[in-house]
Amino acid sequence: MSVRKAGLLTLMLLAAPAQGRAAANEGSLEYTVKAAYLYKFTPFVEWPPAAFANATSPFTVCVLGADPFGASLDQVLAGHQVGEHAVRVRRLQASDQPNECQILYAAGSRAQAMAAVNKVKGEPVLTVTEQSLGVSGAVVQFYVKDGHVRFTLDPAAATANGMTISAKLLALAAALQSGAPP
Amino acid sequence: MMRPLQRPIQAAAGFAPIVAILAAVALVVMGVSLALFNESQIQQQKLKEAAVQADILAGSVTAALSFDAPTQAQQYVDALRVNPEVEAAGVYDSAGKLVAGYGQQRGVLPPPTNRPGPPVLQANRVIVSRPVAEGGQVFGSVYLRIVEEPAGRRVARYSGIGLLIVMAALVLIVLGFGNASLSDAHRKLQVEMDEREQAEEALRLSREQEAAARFELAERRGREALQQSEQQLAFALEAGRLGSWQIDLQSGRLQASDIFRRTCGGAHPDQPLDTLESLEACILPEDRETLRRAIARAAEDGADLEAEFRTTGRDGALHWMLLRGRAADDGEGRAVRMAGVSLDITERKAGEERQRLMLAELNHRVKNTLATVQSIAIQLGRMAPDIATFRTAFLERIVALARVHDLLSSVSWRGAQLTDILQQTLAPHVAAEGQGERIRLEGPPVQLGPNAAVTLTMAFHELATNAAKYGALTAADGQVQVTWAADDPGAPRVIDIEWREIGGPAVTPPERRGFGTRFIERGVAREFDGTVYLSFEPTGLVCRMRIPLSLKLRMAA
Repeated sequence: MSVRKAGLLTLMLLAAPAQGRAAANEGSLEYTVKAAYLYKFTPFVEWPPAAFANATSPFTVCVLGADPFGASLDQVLAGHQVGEHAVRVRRLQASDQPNECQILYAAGSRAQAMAAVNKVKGEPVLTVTEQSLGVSGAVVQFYVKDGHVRFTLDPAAATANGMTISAKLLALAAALQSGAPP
Repeated sequence: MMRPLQRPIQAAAGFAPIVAILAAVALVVMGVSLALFNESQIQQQKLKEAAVQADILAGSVTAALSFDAPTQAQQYVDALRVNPEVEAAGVYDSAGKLVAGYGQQRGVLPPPTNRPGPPVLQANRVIVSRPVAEGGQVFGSVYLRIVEEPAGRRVARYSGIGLLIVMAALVLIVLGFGNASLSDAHRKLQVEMDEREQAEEALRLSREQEAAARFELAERRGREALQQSEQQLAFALEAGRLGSWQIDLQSGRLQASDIFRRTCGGAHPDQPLDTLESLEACILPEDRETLRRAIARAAEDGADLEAEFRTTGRDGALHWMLLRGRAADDGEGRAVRMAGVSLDITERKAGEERQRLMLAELNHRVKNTLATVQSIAIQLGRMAPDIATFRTAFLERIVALARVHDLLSSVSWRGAQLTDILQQTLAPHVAAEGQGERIRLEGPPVQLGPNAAVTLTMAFHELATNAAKYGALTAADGQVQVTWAADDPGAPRVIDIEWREIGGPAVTPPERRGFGTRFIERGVAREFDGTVYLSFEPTGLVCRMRIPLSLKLRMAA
């Protein structure tokens, strides 16, 4: 097993609740980790109250475009809550309105991802894309470095969408990106 | 009365040595208690600080632990290395497994596994384990082992503080003893000061009493001296019969002494003598202007006032009064008051009058005497055959004249008794032991004036000389009998005198009238306008004289 594989495996074992079920390939491991990260972002992001219909409305994680997570997303998020809100997963088509989403993972082509991000621009939605797509305006962009899933944060985009990102997460993202101490 | 003390004796200040010792012990106990309390507080503070540091570390590594970033977690942990008190630190995942950590010394590492729990104090170390959580999710835990201040250093620190406390206690004790000594000295000093204050108060009272006594003595002496002076003045005034007076020139009010008042009664003696007008009222009207002028002059030019005037005294008699005085001004030259003395000079004035009369009398006597001598000399000059006879006869008569002058001088020429004239004239011619038998004088007391006395003396001298030379007094048993009678013994106007010689040789009338006979006849006739009858009876000479005595002849010249 390569070092990269070993790192991903380790991440998966640490982060994924379903530790017992090992992924069948690297892609599934990567997205399993990313699925876990989507949930782990929630303690470090503050959504405005208007982001929810009511106090008990679900916390919705949406995947727009071709779903790269597969069942792992549902498995990772199953049974979790964000505060009083139960976490649920919705997969949207390009034509769907992602208004009810608190986290929107924009998948597919660059154009699709760009359109998805722009669609919720100004809305209290944490937009997540792959850095490799080259989409600007997304709050979180995943990338893989040294076998580890890392991410960048765009606090301006978060602010534009009415959200606040914890300084701890910002510091970690910056440190991971630069390799310097936080 | 003693004055109250200004500063009461104060209670001894400060505290006793036992109090100082107790305070020192209390200080030590307090110091130890404070040290223990401080130690407890330090430990609590250490626990809090450790908890805070653990929380900070937990908060810092939340994201790193959540997103599987052990390197970043290690970096946060390593940041604690700068604090040497953090002996070991560690970050553990949700499974309790060590993710990052370090130990300050070799072999001293954080435990491999950890679970959050309460802080633990263990052998000068504080162990804190805190959870790493965010948004209600727990991601693991952190572990800190912090070393407390070394025991030696703490002991040294507390030793220094303890030494300071002990020194402070010792200082307290020393201060206590010193303060006790000082309080004792202060108490003694206070007592001495109070005693001194009392002594000073007593001395002050004594001085005040002495001053009061001196003042009283001086005042009494002054009063006595003034009283004595006033008594002396009053005595002197009384002895000198001086009165005193004072006039207020503005009001005319008069103050006068009793002596002054005696000489001033005026027409109304009962009226008070208290004004210048009342004084003038007792002055004879013709003398009032004298006093007014004298007062005006003295008030105008300050000259001494001296005036003599007559007053009617309280006894109603006329008094001569001498007033002397001087004016006193008001400081600006205006006379406001006049005062002085008065003297009753009535006797002096009477004496002066008597002296004037005496001088006139003496002049008259001298003239009469010279006239008598001149007459004797002329008569003898005519009758004396020779100068020797003249001289003898003249001297005898001059001696007789001198004798009667002596008699009259002895009574200030106020005249002489007829008896005295006869005895004085006859005594030189009769021995003293036989005068009672050979001279017989008989008649009432008759007072003669000086001229009459001289004339009769000279007449009796002629008769006595004749009796001694030729008449009864030449015989051993001869007698001279002189008898006289007066028409009124109390105030005789006519005296009849008879000179009779008996027992002497037989008498024959002389052939011619001698000097004696003529002197008797002419002198008596001229002087008295009387009559003389000489009878040369054989038994003896008889001379009868009738002398009319006018008042002048009885009392004066």
